[in-house]
Amino acid sequence: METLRALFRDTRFSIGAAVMVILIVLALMSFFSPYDVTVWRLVPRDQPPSPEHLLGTTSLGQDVFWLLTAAIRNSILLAFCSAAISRIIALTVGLVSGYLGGAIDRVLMFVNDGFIVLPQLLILTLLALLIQENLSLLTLALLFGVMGWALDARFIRSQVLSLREREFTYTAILSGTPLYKLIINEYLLYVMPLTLATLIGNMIWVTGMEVTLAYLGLTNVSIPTLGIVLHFALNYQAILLGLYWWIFAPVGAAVALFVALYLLSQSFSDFLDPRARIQRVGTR
Amino acid sequence: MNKNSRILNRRDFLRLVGLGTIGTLSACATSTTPQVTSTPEVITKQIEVTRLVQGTPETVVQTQQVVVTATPAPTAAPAAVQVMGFNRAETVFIQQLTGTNATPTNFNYWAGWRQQDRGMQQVMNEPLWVDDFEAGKEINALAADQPSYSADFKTLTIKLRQGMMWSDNTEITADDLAFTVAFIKATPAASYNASVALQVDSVQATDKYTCVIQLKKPNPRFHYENFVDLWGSLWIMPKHVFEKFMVNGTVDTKSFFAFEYNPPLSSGPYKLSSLDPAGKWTAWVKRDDWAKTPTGVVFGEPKPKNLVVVDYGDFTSRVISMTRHEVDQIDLDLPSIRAVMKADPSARGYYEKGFPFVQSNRHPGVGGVAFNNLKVPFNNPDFRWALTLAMDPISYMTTAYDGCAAMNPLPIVVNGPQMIKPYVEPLVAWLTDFTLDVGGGEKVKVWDPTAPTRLVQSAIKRGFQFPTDADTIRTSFGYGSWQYNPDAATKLLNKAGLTQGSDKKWSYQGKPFSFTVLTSDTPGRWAYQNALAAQVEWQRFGLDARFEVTTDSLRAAMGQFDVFGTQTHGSNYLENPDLFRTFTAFNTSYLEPTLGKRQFGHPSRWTNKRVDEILNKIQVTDPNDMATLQPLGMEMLQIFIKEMPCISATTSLDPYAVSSYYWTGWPSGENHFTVPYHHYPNYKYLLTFIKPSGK
Amino acid sequence: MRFVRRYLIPRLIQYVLVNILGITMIFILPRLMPNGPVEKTVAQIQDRGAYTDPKAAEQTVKALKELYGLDQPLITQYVIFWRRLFTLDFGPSLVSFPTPVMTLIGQSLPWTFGLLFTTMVFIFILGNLFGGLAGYFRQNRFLRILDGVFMVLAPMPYYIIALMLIIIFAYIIPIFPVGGGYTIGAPIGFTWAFIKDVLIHATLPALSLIIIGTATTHQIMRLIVQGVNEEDYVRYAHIGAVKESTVFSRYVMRNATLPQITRFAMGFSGLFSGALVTEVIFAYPGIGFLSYHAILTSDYNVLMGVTTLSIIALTTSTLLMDLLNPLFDPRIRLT
Repeated sequence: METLRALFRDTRFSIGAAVMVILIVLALMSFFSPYDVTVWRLVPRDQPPSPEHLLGTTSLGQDVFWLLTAAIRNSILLAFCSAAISRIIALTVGLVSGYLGGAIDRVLMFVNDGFIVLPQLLILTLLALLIQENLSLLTLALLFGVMGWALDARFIRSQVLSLREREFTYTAILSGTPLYKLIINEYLLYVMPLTLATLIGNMIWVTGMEVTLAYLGLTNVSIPTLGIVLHFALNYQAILLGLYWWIFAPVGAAVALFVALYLLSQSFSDFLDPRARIQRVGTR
Repeated sequence: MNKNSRILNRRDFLRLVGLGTIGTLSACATSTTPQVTSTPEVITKQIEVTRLVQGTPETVVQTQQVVVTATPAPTAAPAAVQVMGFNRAETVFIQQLTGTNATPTNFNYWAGWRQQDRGMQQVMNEPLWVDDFEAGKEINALAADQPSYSADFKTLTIKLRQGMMWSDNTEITADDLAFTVAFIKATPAASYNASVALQVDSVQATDKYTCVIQLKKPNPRFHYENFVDLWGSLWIMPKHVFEKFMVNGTVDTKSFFAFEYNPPLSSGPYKLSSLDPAGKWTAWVKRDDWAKTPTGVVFGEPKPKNLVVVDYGDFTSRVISMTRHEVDQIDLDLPSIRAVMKADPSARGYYEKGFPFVQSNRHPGVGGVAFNNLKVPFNNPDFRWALTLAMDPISYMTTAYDGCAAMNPLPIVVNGPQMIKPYVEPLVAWLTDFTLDVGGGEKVKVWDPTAPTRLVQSAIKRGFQFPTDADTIRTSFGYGSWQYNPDAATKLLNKAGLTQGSDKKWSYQGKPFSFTVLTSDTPGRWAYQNALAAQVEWQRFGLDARFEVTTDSLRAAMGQFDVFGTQTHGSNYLENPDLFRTFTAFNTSYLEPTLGKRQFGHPSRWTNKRVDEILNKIQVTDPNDMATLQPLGMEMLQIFIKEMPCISATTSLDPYAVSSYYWTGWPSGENHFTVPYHHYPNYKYLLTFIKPSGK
Repeated sequence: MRFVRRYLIPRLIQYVLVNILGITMIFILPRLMPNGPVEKTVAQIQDRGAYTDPKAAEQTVKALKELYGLDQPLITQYVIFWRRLFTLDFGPSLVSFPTPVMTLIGQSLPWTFGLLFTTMVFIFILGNLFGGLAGYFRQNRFLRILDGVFMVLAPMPYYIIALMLIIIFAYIIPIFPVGGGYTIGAPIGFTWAFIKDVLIHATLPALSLIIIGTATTHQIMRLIVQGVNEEDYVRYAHIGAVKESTVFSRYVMRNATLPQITRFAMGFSGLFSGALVTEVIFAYPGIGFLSYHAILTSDYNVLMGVTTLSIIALTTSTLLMDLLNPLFDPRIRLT
């Protein structure tokens, strides 16, 4: 409670939280959609916004408003899941590597560096092509999860390295606390704030990647996400045909989502540790 | 602090003023320089110079009238609009269908895929024969006549036209043809090597214009398979260029595959003028001796002085280029055709009056969706028919082609001029009474002759105009379609062993039933649109069908799919109603029975004993022997319809837009005298019909 | 000597191993795809309806695989690849056969280099200048507004920015071309007209990169400067009545720019993977465009060429920065 009140004193947090709440409400509304948005040709095509269709309809006969709610839901879900997956990997690698050190540390960091040097977008494109037939939200989340942990694992590792030199570590070891207990009870608690801050940063990265891959036509076109809605709008020449509602709706939603997430992550990490921010801003 | 920051600001201000002045100055420089530096005249002159250097003096003398028509160009230059350094009024610009050239400086067509739609097949090359599917006949190009086969179909004799010239003023003779066949036979991995090596025993030029080919096995269709150009065939090589690679019958493959053949020799009415090393465009200029090409002999003089084949980029960029009148013909998808017509009044699709925008009634290939006939329940004809009847043809056409395409549910091109009398009309008569057993002895009729009319009505409701007389509707939208009959579809699904729960969801063998509809194409292309429309219809019907896009073009051949958007069978022959090529891929001898191993026959992997027998009989029958072929063909078509291994929907569309701003007289739906596409080999003939608009 | 044994040698071993690991992954990944360049070629030929007998198609696939060297076992291909790598030869492109991969890379590299270098310089100057000012003069209203704008722009995925620029400056106010590196058919040469044409075409791609890059750099620089502001020597300088502008330029900016130079140098390693999305969206004929098409057409050799160079560039520049840092910054000492 105390924390929340402190956070709300920051305007950035309040704005970010407000936009996020609106987006989440929109996402939840998708469950009450009168149309199945994955089925096409249920409503008249190419209609401009009207009371009946708040944001108009697409050339495929979908209602843009309800399509958008589903897209927001899927995009947030995807971002959260893959960020969570990559956090788990990053935490495990960071903790193990940082605490154990030695050969294990060297091997893990070697793999880690291998991941860092790969040209990410190229690899993602390749992998997306490879598993294209099985691309669901879950596999997509796994894909982004596997690609998005390396840098953050290094951050966590360096924090653990400094924790290892702290007094409580020696006390715990001398008093015979088992290793896993030490890591879970003590270290995890310390690195959690950092992990949470990188979580939001990673969500931004995932959403951006998803939009990009969808633009390149590499994700599953039957699961509406913000990227897929844009993909179809562009392919059906929404700009040239003047169907602006179709293109600006997903762009607007995406912009809102990014700004909200960014404001939250900024204010959040400021609150946690004003000094540690510098390195994280650049690691989108 | 305040004071200091003001000082800093003032300095900044001064700096900004300085920067601004520089900026303005440079902007002025920019706006004045074009007049000085834009010197397209010089560039045209350069091109003129190269032309003179390349052309030998004899050529000019021999074709004096030609030179007269060609010369006004440079003198008219000063006032004329220049695009890409060409006089716009004398040049036709078209989009390259296959996009940017991967091998821009390489014209060695026989050594691999060279994107021949860069102008090579349109205007550079004359094949032996060209298919004219608009007229339903075959054009004798370099060949003087149809080939004559021996009675056992093991020897064919090809007669060449006399006096046809390569662009270096060497005559094209039977020696070239015989050399080509022998060369390709001896060169593994060369284009057409597989077909030629498997079939040809020997080849010989018996006189200057006669070539005799001996086959290993009887094949009355050898020339169709290899020499009739329908977007590619085995072209004749100039012997005097390529003979250096073949010594004593052995080919130096390494240097042959490395040979760029640049500049190439033309047998067609245009020759290479210049090209972009980055692969974005290729420019062709009319030969002075165009009269010594088949185009000149058969059709007369092509009108434009230049043809430039360009990759303008994605659909959006193409539309913008057309509205700027930079390009005359581009291939598009239906939304972008509507967009270009909205933005530019001089642009149109296939029909002069607008709707329905696309030529969809005569293209030799038929597209639709193919079932994987080795998978359950797709191997069951009842199931396949259920899915056929679950589709509303009007809605399908609207999703797939914006309601613009002709319905082509039969496994042949329903408006192919050569198909109507022998097959289409008897089939439609047969279908009128054709019934299907939907289980429990209940029989339903499945043919819906009114679907095209309803499609036209729905278009009129949307504000488009189209005549409502039966004949026009039939030629533009087809003879009919399969009925939309959800009730019969439900019964057939039950008959095939599927059950519907109280929540309306279907299950099969105790499990919820879902399947995917796959495409390996890109949005807008017909294979993609068919797969998409089928999936949309099945979902609307209540089946859990999912749409899947892959870039893996091999998945279909590997059999890793349920339903796949593709050509539902081979292309028709366009000049006669022979169905061999259309169905040969279904022959059991091509079947790979294990899914996951590569199939080289039709991806549906459907086979039928009786069809095998018929195919084997057709294979050794003269393709023009209609008395024997027609009943066999009818029987095969009926088996195909009863079994429904693939659902045919439309001909394989190539939507395009054409602009009448600089050139008029393009073929259209109202006046279709030749193949209208800018990427087919028939384009050189089309160019003789168009006229400059005088702009 | 202690430096060599304790630091340099392990670092070099790591450098070599990471390269081998990355390159091997890149070798294996595309080959897992079930279809290859040969199939794409054959599909292209058949796509238009030209007739190919199924038996003949089978023959063609076999013959082409032999020609491309794809019929050999994977391990042989791998050995050949490494042998070629030491002469910087990646073999022929499989789609643009027989053009060598290095020729294709050589054609694309100047475009990417020109675009990335220019934008990086712009980003470095603009981002650090505004970021530094914003960090130092925290009360200035203009800088605060700018800060707010960058705050909104920084998290934006690049693609959205590029799309908006295209919509605004190519459709609504059509003053820039939609894409391409230069006007199609423009006579290529070292003329003012051509250079101007190239610049006009590069404007939108560059602008999109600059907007995103400047916003991010600005955010980082502002934080760094704020950090430096708190340092004791800056405080002493203020107390010692050193001129404000001197404190800003000599004391604060000089120190704050140091880590940014590292970032700038690291940016070059991205040269070989190119700005893939930028180049695809704007159809810009650089390395990113090349590699994207190599992926779509399964052109293994081109893909291997581009990614190998990109991996080596990244690892090498990291290595160099690690080794050279002490030269720039006396505060860092390698032990």
